[in-house]
Amino acid sequence: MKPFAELLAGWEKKNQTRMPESLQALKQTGREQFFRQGLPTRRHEAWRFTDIEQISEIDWRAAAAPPLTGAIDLLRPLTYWDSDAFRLVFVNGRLNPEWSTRRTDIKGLRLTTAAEILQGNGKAAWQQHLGRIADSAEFPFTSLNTALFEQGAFIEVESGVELSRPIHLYYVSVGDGAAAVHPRNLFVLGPSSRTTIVETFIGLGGYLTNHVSEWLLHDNAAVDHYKVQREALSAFHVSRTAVHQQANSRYQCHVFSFGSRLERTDLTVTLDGAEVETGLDGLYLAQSGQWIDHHTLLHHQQPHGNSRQLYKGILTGEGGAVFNGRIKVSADAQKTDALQSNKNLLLSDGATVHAQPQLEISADDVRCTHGGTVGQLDPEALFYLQTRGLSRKDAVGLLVHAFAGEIVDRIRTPILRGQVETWVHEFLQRETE
Amino acid sequence: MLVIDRLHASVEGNKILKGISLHILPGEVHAIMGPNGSGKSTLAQVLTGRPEYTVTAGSVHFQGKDLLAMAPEERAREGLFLAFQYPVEIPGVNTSYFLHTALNEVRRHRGLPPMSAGDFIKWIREKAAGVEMDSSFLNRSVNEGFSGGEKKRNEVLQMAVLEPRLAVLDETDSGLDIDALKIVAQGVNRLRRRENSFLVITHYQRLLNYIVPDVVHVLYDGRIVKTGGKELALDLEAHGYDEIKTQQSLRPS
Ligand SMILES: Nc1ncnc2c1ncn2[C@@H]1O[C@H](COP(=O)(O)OP(=O)(O)OP(=O)(O)O)[C@@H](O)[C@H]1O
Ligand SMILES: [Mg+2]
Repeated sequence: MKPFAELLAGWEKKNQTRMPESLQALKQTGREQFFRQGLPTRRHEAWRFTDIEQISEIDWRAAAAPPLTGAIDLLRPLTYWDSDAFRLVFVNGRLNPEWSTRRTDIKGLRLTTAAEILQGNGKAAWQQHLGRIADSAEFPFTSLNTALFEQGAFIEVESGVELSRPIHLYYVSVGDGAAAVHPRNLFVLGPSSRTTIVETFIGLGGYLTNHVSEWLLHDNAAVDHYKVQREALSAFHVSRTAVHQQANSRYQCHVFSFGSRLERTDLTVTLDGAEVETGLDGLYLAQSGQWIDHHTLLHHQQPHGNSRQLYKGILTGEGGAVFNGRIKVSADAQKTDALQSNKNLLLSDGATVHAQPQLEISADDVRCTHGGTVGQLDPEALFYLQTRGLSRKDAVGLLVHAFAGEIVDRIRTPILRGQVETWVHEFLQRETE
Repeated sequence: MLVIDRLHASVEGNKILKGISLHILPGEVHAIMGPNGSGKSTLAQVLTGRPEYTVTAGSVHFQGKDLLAMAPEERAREGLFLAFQYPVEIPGVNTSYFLHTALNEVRRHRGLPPMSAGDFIKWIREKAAGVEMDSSFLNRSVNEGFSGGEKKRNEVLQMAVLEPRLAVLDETDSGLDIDALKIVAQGVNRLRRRENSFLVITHYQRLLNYIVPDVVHVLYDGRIVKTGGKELALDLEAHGYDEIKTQQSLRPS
């Protein structure tokens, strides 16, 4: 049987609702496209190193509503859970109104949920943008999400608005081994707006998250985007973030991969305007039983774009990671300044990393540099610290925190930074026990 | 304090130390001189437990305990300190934070309560002033981007903070201007007590004007070939190692 076939068949029945026609058409296209594409295999260039056979083998069903006590127990310990953020909580794909902030609470912010749109009630500018930013031609999972999404947040920040509170989106999943959720988000950030958005993925048990977020930054908009992947260690996390930037906008993202048995994230940024700034920070940790795959594409299309990318990985046991960083510079994108760096720290002999930078440059007056390292802790530094009285374990900890610090220190929200530091610490504790 | 008995050590199969015996009493300052490549740093590294160096024969006792059986950090906690000839740069590790952790490890080993962050700041500022190091260095990464002289000063600062029983200084005077040299010497002299000892590796008699040694040894080709009082250093400064080298080449092997 084809994977997801039953789910997709079920969708046809649901399609009898008040769903707007344009959305029906979009979903139909996604469905057809997915059937054409099928799930990727390692024969596909973009999936060469990541085997998703385990995903294809499971007969995925829509996640059932979980016991809410289990879900809240996952959220409460987060240091930033109780902050003054504007909060939206999705549990197994369903918006939980009790834990979410009332939406009238913030001026300049317009929110519609995907569920409302499916009911024909949404007022957001989704029609112009949904499915246009995240093209699905080469992304079967995006097609699948388009066909199947039932929940997510469509958020618009109005022109000139500087949100004083960050927006926190939580995706909590409690799975039985075959539960699939397909969250879908759209962020439209108005001209000269300022926003901070934190997406947190957390869960328990076995499940699949197939997430798609589309981002449009109008002229001069600036956003700090944090994506925190802290899924259950028996979960699959497939994720797509597609960003479209207009002139003078600034997109800064901070991606953290701490959980899941298998993550595949595709982050695509199109710099479609002059003087755009893009910053991509990533930190991934993988222990035995974890495989983390980050594919990024920065497409410079207009002059004077500036992109800075730094992805760092820490691997232990038999952990594995893939970093594929592609930078495309179109002929028009003169004076592009692109800098990419990927650094990996292997704490064991069994860990694996595949690092592939790819530069495709069609303009002549540009500065593009990339560098990558795969290495171990500096034995000289370890020894030096030990000669001052630190145990080997503490010395390793200090050096690993220093390695991660380059990314962690750039988290601008202190409570989030504290949480990430704790996770790095816990990861090391597990490792060195 | 330190008893080295016929110590042999090799690195990557090369025999570097070929039977060193040395006896340092509490309160004594010993100097080791000797031409380049004779094994001075190797001796220092073997004492601190560098894993690349293999001890093939002999023994080392530190305050009556078998030093060679201890991990590097245990040696440090027991009160052994090495000021490195080439201090390591450690990006991202804050100097003050690291030293606070180190000091509390040493204190715990000595049965003392941990020093609070507030007390430590006062303590380390005082020590930094003692080696005329600006306290802004304390918030920088360990040795990262420090000049050669600043790195050496940082070694002396760490020594002052950790208050070792035996400090080994490996060419801490090399590359220092005359003022810095005096500061380093002051750092050592401030720690000089009846129970603390020093092993000072140097090429220059100059340092020994400020840190007056009780005993001077000459290390040549992995052996101590001459031992004398502080006047031996003056003699070497005047005549070099030629005489020793000639004598050694005539030595029956
Ligand atoms: N890792 C190593 N592999 C091979 N040989 C080594 C290694 N480390 C040191 N040696 C050799 O051991 C010998 C002694 O070196 P050591 O650094 O102890 O000399 P030193 O007396 O401190 O010299 P200097 O006065 O130049 O500092 C040298 O010949 C050196 O090349
Ligand atoms: Mg030396």
